[in-house]
Amino acid sequence: MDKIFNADAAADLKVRQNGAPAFYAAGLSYRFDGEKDDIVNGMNFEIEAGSFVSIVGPNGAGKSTVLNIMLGYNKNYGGRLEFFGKELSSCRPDELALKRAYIPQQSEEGLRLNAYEYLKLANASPLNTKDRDIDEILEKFNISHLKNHDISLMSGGEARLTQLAFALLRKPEALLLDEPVSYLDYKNQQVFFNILKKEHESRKITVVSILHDLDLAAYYSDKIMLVNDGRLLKFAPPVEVLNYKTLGSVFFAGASSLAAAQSEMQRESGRGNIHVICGGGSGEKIILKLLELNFNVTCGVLNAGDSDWRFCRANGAAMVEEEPYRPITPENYIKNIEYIKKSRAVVVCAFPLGGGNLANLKFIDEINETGPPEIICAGGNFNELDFTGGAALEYLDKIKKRAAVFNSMDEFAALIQKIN
Amino acid sequence: MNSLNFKPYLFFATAALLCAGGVFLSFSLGQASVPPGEIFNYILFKQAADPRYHVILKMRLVRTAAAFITGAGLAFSGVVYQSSLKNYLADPFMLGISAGAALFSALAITLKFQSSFMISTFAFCGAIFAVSAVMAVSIVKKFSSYNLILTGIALNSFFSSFLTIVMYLSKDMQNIFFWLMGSLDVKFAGQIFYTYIFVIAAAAYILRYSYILDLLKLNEKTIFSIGIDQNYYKIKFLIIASLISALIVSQTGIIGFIGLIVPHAARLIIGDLHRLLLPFSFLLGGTMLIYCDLISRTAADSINFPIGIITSLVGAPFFIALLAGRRNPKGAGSNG
Amino acid sequence: MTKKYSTLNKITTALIMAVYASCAAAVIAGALYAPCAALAENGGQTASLPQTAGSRDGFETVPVTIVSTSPAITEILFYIGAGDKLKGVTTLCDYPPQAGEIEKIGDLNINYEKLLELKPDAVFIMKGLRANEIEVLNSFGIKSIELDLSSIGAILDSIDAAAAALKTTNNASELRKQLKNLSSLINKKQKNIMRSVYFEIWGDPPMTIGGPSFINEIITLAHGINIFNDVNIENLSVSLEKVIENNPEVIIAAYNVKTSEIALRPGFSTLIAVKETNIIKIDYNIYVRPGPRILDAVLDLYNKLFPEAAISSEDVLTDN
Repeated sequence: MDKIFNADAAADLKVRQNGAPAFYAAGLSYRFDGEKDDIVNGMNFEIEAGSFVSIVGPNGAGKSTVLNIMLGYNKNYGGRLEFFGKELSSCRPDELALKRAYIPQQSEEGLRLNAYEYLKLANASPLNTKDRDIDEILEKFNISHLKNHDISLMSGGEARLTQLAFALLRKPEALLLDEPVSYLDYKNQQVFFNILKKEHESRKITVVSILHDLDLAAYYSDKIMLVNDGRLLKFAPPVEVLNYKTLGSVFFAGASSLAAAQSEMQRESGRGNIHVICGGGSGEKIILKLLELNFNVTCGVLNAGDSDWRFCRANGAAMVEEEPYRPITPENYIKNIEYIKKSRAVVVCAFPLGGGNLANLKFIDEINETGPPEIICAGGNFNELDFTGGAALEYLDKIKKRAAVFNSMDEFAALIQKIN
Repeated sequence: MNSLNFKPYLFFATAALLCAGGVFLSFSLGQASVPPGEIFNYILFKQAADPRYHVILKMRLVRTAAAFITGAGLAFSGVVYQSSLKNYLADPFMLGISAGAALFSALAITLKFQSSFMISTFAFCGAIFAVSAVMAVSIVKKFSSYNLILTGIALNSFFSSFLTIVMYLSKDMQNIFFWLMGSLDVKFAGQIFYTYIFVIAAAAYILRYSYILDLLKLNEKTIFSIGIDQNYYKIKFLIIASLISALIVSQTGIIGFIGLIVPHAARLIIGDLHRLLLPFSFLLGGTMLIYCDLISRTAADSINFPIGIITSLVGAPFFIALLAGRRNPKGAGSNG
Repeated sequence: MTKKYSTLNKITTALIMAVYASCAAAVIAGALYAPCAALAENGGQTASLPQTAGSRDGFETVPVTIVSTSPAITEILFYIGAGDKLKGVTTLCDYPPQAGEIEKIGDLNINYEKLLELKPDAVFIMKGLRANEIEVLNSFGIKSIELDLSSIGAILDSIDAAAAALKTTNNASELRKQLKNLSSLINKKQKNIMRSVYFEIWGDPPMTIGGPSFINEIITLAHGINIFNDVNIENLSVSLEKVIENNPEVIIAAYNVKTSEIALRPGFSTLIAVKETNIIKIDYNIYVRPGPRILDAVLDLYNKLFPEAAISSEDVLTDN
């Protein structure tokens, strides 16, 4: 009788565990030894098995601490944290190792092993990792040619992909990543996340990743955890988390509100207005230079969370804002053109172009054939930045025909000085 | 599809050839002038015609064997030290082995326990005492490579000062100096046999877990995520490596340089994969000490130069040449 | 975190390099210092010095208070009867026992403050040692007298010179006579018989003495032949192969070791000395000091080499 009952109970438990969320936290808190304040303060969340979750928040918000707790690395947390239905603190490290993998913020620096030797270590003993699996995953990631390359000699993107291969060779149910693409350029970020997303879908892996880039978070995540001051402010799909109100309150608490920024734009400054079309960090230097030269700067259209968006926020430059990772809405498009028409010059930076922000270039059809406004355009090749399949280049050609082109900051400074 | 290219095996073969050459030279050359005929007699029939030559040739073999295992053991534990402490400047003497051995042997000599066996026993105890003290202190505090290294440095200098006091007060100061210079003379029966058994057994054990040493180079949290308790393995490996070097130091005195430079050279030649690096260092260390010993006992008539001096004299230029010639500037200098 | 880590690492690296540098320096200093220490310990055996002895400059007045800077000199000064004038000795001076009661002015190094406090008329210094000290003493206006103790002949001359400088009644004439007596006795008893000797002063690593050593002379006087006679170094780390090749009849161990341990060394079983169990431990102290006790040393060694025809100390005193 007993035996059957126990078997039932065990089966029941198994069912429950199978259906259990990957992570379930209730009142989760953490405090470092010798510190007075909790770095993680009473978080409650439930991460469904097989979902893709990003953790976002400003520096020092407690993102890494949360991830380290979920990794089991930061022990002695307060509250409850269940990992597939089992209290995490009661799991042995080797038990956890079977279920989850981790990719650290840094790549494996100074490791003088080649990719094959490195990947052989994925499951501790080289006997546990089959050559066939390694070949397969390298093939899948399209990095078979790196098999005999030293990790320490790889480019950032290659090293990251190899780390991802390492983690996936462990056949985890959950994968934790700590800012995996912080040091990568735009293209490699895309490559990395596309592969990660594909693997996430095909293997049904739960992915929890800290991300700096809100665009990436919005695009790839099922849900976003917005963390600030050790508290979980919002845990919801990207649309609900990434909007001006929420982000603005977190990233620029106390800074000027949207309205204030707009009124600032209207304040005529000594040398008039310059409108900058940028994105992805391409505008920072230029905006800085313009502010230095006492111009009033406006930007547009920028998705909220974009690094140029943050830069403008931080520096008080007014801009036309769009929801994160959304195409430009007609209202904002019109607003942008209005800004441009009011400006003495438009600066077009070399920024990544996608279907979403292509509309930024369409202003060329809306303005007079001769200035004002003057057009100043970044030189060089936009091909690598074009993700629209050539549509953008058509506009760019038009712009360049009318614009003064600069290839360095010095040239830019010279051009901008000419505007009287 | 074979992922291991033949290159490592080429290096192994070269080293083995060098080693064999060293053994042959070491066997053929020495202070006593043994006729070539006798050498061939010994090689072919294991018996020289003149019993005295027989004894001398046998002695050379034993000494060569001693040189090999000494160099091999020190180089091997050097690799383990460097990888476990995550510091390329580590050597087997970093955690107090040499200082402990020196202090205790000096005490033995001062207290008139002057037979080789007694000095060795004292030196072994001293080495173990010192390294245990360093480990205990750093484990009680909070175990980390840095704590360990810093504690080791502190204790090393503490023991060294003690040694200076003992030497200053001792009437056998000269003899303490002699011992500290190091020597490869086999002083008592069975010494080599047991050393071989122990060193090889310990080395084989570490080699079996060589992948852990590879893993220790990864990011700390990555190691954790794989389910490896790195401190447990670090301590375990350090203890075994310490036993090896303590055993060797207690018998030969302090032979520096081998445990620092051979691991480096081996890394430069064969890379960081410990499955290859460990045996290669073992082979390279043994080979290097055979040649150094050969120089030390044939350079001048009747005299054996202190082996420790020869190792630095020969090893440093060789190593600098190797450093100058390496292609890969990344990695080797970093701290892992 | 990463920053801190690497800074710490740099500091560690620097520290380790410092430790290595100092170790290397210590080893080099040690290697250089060892012979010096040996000299001081043994009382000095500087072979390269000319065989002259005597005072450094002509003394008008006879010194009343004197200081010795080496155990061998202390022995000599007591031997010639100047022990009562001796106001300062080193901590290493332990013979004769009265020497222990005298004020100490240093060990291997001289404590000048102590020395100046004693205001000695003359300081006795072993020739070839302490060249710097003589300069310092001169600058203080203290007379120094150098004694050459590099060979038996030089020792005897130095004893005479010290006696002359201090105007004492005893000099080396009695010692000369006894040495001559002993030598002729040995020659008479062991006519044309010499025994080859391996004289080991340390076993780990095996160290012996070469031709220039003062002990080498004692061995020769005692009718032994040092098998490393022809090596022109005082103390050498010896090749055991050479020992086997030279096949000594007697092995002398001048340190505290079990003779069986030497016998069990690889290859030693073929040696005559081992086969005939002629491994003999000696009291090294009487051998190391180039002072008046050289007679005891020669006699002791002879009796160890030829126990079947022993000579007693009384035999030496009587003329023959």
